[in-house]
Amino acid sequence: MARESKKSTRGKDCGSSDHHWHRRQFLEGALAGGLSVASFSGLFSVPALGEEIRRQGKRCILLWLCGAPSQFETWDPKPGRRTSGPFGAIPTALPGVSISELMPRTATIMDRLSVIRSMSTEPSEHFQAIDMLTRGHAPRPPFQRPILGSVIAQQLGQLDSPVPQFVLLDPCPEGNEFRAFKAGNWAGWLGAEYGPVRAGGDYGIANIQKPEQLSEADHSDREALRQFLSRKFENERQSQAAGSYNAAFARVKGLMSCAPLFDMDQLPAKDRERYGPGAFGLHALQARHLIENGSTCVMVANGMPWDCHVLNHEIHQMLVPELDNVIYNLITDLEDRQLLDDTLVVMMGEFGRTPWLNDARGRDHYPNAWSLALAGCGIKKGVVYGATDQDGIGVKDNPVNQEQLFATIFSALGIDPHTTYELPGLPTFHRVENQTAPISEVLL
Amino acid sequence: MMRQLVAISLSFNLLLGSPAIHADDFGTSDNSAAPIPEKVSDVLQQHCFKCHSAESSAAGLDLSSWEAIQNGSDNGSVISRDGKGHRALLAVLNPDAQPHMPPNGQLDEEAISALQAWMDQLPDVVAPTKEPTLPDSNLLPSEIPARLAIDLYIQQGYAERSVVPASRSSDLAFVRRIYLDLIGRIPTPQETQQFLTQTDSAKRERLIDDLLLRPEHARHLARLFDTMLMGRREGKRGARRNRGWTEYLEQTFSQNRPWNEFAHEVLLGREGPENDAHRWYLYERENKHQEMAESIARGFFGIDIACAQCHDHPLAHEIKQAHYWGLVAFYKRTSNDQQDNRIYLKESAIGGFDDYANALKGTTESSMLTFFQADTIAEPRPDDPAKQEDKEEFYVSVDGRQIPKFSRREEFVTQVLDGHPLLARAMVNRIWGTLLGRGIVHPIEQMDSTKPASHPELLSWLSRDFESHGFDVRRLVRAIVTSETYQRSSIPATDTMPAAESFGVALVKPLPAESLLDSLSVALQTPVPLDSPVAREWRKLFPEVVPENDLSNLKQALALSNFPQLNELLQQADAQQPSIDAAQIQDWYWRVFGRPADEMEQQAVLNYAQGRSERPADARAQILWAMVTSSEFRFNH
Repeated sequence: MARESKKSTRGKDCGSSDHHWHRRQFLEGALAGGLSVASFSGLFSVPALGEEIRRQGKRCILLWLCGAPSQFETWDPKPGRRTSGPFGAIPTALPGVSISELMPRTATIMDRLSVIRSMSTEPSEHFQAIDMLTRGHAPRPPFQRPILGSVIAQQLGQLDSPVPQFVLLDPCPEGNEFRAFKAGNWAGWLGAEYGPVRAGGDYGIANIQKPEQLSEADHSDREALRQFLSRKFENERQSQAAGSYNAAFARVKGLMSCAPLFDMDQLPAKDRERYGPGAFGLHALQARHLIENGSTCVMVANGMPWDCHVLNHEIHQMLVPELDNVIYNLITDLEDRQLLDDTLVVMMGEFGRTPWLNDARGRDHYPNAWSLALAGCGIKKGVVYGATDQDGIGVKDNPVNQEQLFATIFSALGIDPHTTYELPGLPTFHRVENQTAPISEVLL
Repeated sequence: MMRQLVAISLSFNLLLGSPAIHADDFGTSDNSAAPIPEKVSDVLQQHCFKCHSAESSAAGLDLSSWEAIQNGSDNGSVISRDGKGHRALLAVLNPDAQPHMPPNGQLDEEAISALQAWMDQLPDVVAPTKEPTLPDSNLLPSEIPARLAIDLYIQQGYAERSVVPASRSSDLAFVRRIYLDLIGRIPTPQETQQFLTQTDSAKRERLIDDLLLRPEHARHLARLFDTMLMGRREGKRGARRNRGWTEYLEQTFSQNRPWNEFAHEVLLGREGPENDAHRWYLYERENKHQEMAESIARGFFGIDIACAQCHDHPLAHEIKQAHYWGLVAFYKRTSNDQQDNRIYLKESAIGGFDDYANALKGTTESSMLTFFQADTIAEPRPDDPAKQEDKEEFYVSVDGRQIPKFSRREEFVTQVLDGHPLLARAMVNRIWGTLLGRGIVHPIEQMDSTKPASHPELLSWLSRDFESHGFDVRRLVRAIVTSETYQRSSIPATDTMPAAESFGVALVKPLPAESLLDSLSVALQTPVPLDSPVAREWRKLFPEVVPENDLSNLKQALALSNFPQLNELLQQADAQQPSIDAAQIQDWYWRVFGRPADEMEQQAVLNYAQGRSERPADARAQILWAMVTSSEFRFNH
């Protein structure tokens, strides 16, 4: 599929009544003040044109390692210490920096990454931590803060593009808390049109092909009639249910037009071999493909396999090599295609894992001191930021919380992290709260 | 939680039409004297209420009353001293506090010292009063009709929330809604007309009573409860039918059997050897004891204990890991059995002494026979359970089956289930949720301390009423649908949409798959069998009965647009009709939406047909598609 033109329509109203309507959705429950709707298209202030151009073509791939990998078996090994597992540490392309021996390929490209070894967050349960580390902030009713991918799609994407701007690739419909989280409201106050298109694995995107007996024209006309016949009903009722139902239909046609993008078989066999055979790897490849063809943010998940309360080492021995391969291929591919400078790759889970083992030789949840990695767009190459103590029990230098992380991610993509959002009678919201500064040491 | 009832005395008298009773007579209690000095409450009101009041309790913190303050935030008490002697409510006010309150400002010293002086008088530890059980004396009297109690409590909520409720629904809206809610399909045009031609004031109640006695009503409830209690398992549909479970559920509702009796029967899974259908509830779980425990907790107690498998529930602190493994233990000795092609739930008299590990603490404990809000049942524990020998003397023979003398299952139903306070509350909340589109506690299967009831007194009143009237499901359904609350319009009275939990406007409710399919049959006048491809697909797409949120997804829109068999079905509908004229369009509107088409609608459809006058069959299928996929059809409203 040809690369979509990058004409930006962000900040403008696309003209459909639907669009207008969804601007109102985020006010659900808070509408009690009888607020005017007119101002919502300026939810976040329109940036100056210069910045506008600078942000053209920026994208993000989030490798969402749900369940939370162990920092000891990935980015922050503690060889020889009592908290270390059986795996050693190996030197990397970055002099003086070692990572787990389970990541030999990534070690060769450490000079392209920024690793943060001093993540220090609070929630120690999956649901709360997933929520916080994908939205950037703890819940603050009555508003639902949008998830990272929705913000990026809204800020950098094109709503009128047929290519879905925010895609969640997750082959696994299961996964305890992540499953429950997936069922929630991802786009929050931005409105349903910024929610993800969900695809992946065996279940692909069902019913993406038009019925044979129906012509293209009839398919579109029929939909237009449907929208028309629904209008009276919806005008009379300010129903979120009906609003999101219509928003889903509004995306059908565009999605159908890019059905081939989601067809794994269309990707070169050689690529599939390099990334595969696991679903996580294949979806990372698909993410690259989608980014190349006009998507703005792709989140690659795989249920929540990293939650190793039992047999931590054995499970990491299976999972980390796949992650290693995926990171290596994705980063080097993006680099070879000259996309890395415009594509931010974020590799993280919702917290880390305990320095000690439980009775089942598992590592439990540990938000106090953990690691993640960033690369590409706006990110310095070859930085290790922050450090844990010698046993990895606490953060020694430069603790980083979710707000600093989100400020950094937004800044790397050229999105103002401190844009404010005001409504009369309600507290002020910011894209990142508390005027939190980004980590300048990892930013270009 | 304790609210004054005075506010509603006026409306109460109006509704009851009797000045003799005054709400003050119902034991309105004085709010226990709130030990908050005026200065302090001024500070709280001025600086904190924006985010921390009953309306918007950010981080679960409500500072608007002494009672609420005691309950603290999601992170626990805000006024008890922590390990360092600090009180969180005070600590966050310091200029360098992290997090800092208020988020965008700094309280002056006078305000802080007022708070400080107040807190210095408080004990070091202030226990929460979470979810106080209201003494019955604080509730409206039990003698008033249930539908009246519903309206009174809901109206009280309007006043508190400053909600202008929607007006009464029109007859057209009502007849469609009540058919969908009671018998799971839209009315036919004839049924709608029949209702419209009646003019007396009792016609709504008459229709309700008529529908409640139809076999279709029992079938509808049976389907909803099959989904809610058993989950959607496409592969089990046949077995549920063949084993008589489906029919058993229908009979339960057509005979209006008491809900507690039904619960007792399926959870004991024993009596009545001539009929084994009730045993299917446990049998289908195929000896998976954790799955049994989790679904029993959800289905009959309205609580989700799955989180407590590995540790105490992280947020709903009252749900303990011991409850999870306790409920598992009650069923641990149960295993599937068959004899003469009948299914049985064999129970052993020994074994099932398990230890469980707390994943967070790294500790190990033994499971006891216990459950949430129930006593622990004593059971002799052998020194070495693994070496315990099974003996015949442990059993008695009943109808040729060996029953253990000490049966854990029997202990569960007699000691825990019977009389458990949540049995009635969960069912009241479930029925309310299915009829109103949202539970009084929502989601309906998370009735724990993290999900406060929107109308706690109403839930308590209805639960007491349900219990004291023999767990009569039909009576409960009738009370709800005859209320003004249920019969409100789905069109808000003003531009301000009332919050969903105020029930100030009828919620637009997504139809579960079965209701959508049966309504499709009525609208297209073409049967859509429950084992057809469309039905199978729809059950996957629209699985829930009372969804946690009402968001649609792209998968649904794609299937409604492109699922081949739906398009085939539409092509078959009305195939004998040669042309599309105004009369035909009006006929479709009555069939699909239960109302006439207005001029614009009629014209739009006519135009569409005229653009395809060469191929009327295509036009017909496409117009019908646009109608049955429109939001007006997809939702109950």
